[in-house]
Amino acid sequence: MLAKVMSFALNGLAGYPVLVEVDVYKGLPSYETVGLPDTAVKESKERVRSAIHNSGFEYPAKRITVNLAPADLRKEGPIYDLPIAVGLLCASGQADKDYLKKLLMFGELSLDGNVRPVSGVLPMVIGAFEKGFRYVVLPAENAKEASCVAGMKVIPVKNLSEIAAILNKKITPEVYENMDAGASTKAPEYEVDFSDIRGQSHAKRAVEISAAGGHNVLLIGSPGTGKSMLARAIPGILPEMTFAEALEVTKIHSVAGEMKNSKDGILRNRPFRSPHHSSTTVAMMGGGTHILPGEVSLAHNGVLFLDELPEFSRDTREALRQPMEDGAVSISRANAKVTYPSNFMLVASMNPCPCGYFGSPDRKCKCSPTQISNYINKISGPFLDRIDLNVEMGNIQYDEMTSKKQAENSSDIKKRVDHARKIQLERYAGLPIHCNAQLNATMLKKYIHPGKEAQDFIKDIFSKLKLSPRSYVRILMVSRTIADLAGSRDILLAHIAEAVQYRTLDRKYWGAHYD
Amino acid sequence: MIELSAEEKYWVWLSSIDGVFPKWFYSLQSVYMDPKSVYENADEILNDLPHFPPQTAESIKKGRNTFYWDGLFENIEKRGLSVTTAISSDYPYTLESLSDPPPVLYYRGILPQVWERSVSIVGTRTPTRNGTKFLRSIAAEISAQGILVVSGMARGIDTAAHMGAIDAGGKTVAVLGCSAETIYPKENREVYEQIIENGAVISEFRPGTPPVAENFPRRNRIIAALSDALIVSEGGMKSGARITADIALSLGKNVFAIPGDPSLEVSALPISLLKSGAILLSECADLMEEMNWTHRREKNFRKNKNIFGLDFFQEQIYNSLLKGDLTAEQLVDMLNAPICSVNSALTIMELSGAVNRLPGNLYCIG
Repeated sequence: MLAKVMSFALNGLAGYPVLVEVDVYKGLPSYETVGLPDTAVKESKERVRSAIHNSGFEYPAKRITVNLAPADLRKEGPIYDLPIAVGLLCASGQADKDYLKKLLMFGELSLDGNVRPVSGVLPMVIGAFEKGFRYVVLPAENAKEASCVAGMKVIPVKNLSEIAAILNKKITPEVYENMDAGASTKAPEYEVDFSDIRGQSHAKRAVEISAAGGHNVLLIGSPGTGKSMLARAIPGILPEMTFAEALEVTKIHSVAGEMKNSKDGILRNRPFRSPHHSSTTVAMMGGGTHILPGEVSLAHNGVLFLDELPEFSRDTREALRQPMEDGAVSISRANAKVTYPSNFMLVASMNPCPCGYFGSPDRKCKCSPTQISNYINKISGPFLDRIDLNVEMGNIQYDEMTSKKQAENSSDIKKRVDHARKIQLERYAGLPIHCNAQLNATMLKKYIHPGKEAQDFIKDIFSKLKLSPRSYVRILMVSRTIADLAGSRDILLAHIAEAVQYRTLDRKYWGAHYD
Repeated sequence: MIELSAEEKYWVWLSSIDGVFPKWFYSLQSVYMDPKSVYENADEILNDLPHFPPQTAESIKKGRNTFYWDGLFENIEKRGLSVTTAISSDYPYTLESLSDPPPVLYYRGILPQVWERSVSIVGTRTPTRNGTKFLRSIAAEISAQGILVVSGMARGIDTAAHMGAIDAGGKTVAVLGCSAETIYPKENREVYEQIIENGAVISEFRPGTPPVAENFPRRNRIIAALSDALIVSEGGMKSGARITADIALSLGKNVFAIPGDPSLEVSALPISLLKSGAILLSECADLMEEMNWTHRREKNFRKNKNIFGLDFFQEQIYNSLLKGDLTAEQLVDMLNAPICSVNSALTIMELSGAVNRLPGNLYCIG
């Protein structure tokens, strides 16, 4: 007898339905899986046999053929355990086939018949919904994640017996529908608040500006100045994610298998990713045999924090340029090409010099000017061109640490950032961009035009402070954001003057990018 | 470039040969009277001078061809160098006090004709910030008195000495440990250009000589001999500044030392010099009095804050910085002002020259 069960396969964030056909017929007992299965799919044979047996059903001692259609595309992972087992039960007459046509199902089985959570649930459910499916059977642990897709009826199952009982109409299934939509008003919580960080008003201001304009920022400071802590606080001042943004983020994390053990259905917090500097280019960009999203995509709509930037391999740093520019990363392999979104705010940190104490008031730097400029020059010019603000962070003094003076908290800063973002959205209405950092050369001419006085002032700055020419555009863009934060329509002299302070690497004493 | 006489050209030729150090140059001269006869009698050198290094004699012999000769002078011209020899009229006569004065000096810029009222300044390459600041201001005061400032254009104190003289619009001379057209350290390109405009960069090393360690002690003897007095700022006990001080003492020059915090390593040399009788230098007048130099003109180098056109808030910042260097954060706390206005005021003040930005986001009075 033949049974057909619908399931799904992912390619990047999109996917296609997979028809699982199970045929049980007379012959010597055997089991064959066809339709380009990978090892995990082939191994499902053993899990399915034990699960059926241990759930109190009979494993048919017949010739069994499992086909996964379309047969020319690779099928990966253990998600077909459940559809294969259900197909076997139906084909051997132990379960009813009536409902099968309407249902789409996936899930991993354990040997005792329990259904285990799988990764990539949200993009699969969204994909299935777009293809016209309205009912989905999936592991109970994944139900929350799937239920935020409006209009999809989610049937969570705990074990094989449960789905068999549902199919045999012995129990009515519990249907989850759109349960997370109500929870979307819940405000996200972040681990570090700006009021937790003592002192550092200069760096905090720079970070506020970057958040307001979507600029990338480089924090330069000796060890222990609180670079990572400041970076961790940044997601808390970024505007809240819209539902669409949150869904996109959840999809990526789901594909990467990070949603399996999540208590929340949908990610509300802006992601904060802090890959170690030993991370490979593949780990950063995405890839591997299953082409999983890398750190740049996991940081989508959030913050990618690169601690100790010069320690990252040159290849990794240079590879970052394309996703920073395009907001998406394309990974091509012999058998597939996948594009993941990667619209992140880059926050990088580094020491000022190899010993870490250049410019420190309390400790003497042991490095020669050549060593310092070599260290700074490890970061290539084109890469630095994509970082609009670079600031030095000083050491925190003891009295600052113990000071009772209350620092501003994240929600107050967030209000200003939200306001500045609103102004930018209005200004760029109808354009494919939404913040100042995304302006390209032609847009820059149209939207940023400092007055005569301000222009003369910039000229003066360049000749007197000997800034490098490549910082000109950066200073303009950052001044625009400062003006937006101040609610000013025009870029004033004071805004430009402030912007210059966040370009420390252009200063001659770093010796960078000159000769 | 002043046209060299035929005899001067022989001097340049002989001194440019590998291995002909001043010592050998003068022993050759004592036998053959002048470099021209060395050229003519090169085959006899080993017979006439039994201790002469055979390799060098060989080099001299090989150097007697038109290719070497023309190449040498083309090279000098191509690199924009001028040359003076110990027999030239513009040769710094103060060097004659040395037992081995450089036979030939290459230079760029304008060589001073008068070497009286001059002072050499030496010190460490890794000075403290205060030490650098003080030295630069005192060099400016000294230079404003019309005194020539001689130093070595190395990092740290040397650079500060030249910059001080340039600040005051005075004359300054740099003696290099590499050839005169080589800019070392390379971040001093601008300083180098300014020294050429305000004086000269000189070197005894032939064109194309890289800055190698063994050249520097030789350079130091020139620094010590060129001027009437030597000022030692910060330096360790094993520094090049110490070598220079020892040579200056043996030449009978006055040695001045600027004391520093005794707990710092860089104060070791000036303090030990002071203990053994060097003259303490804490202001320009110390030098002028000791050397019996007349004060030419009074010029106040402490800038008046009104000239910067500061507004009320900027003046508050200026007044806070008068008490010591501060970071932008500290200014925010002291003045209770938002960081955005502090930062924007600081840029404007930096433009007008009222303040300077230092590494570590630190500000000081300009």
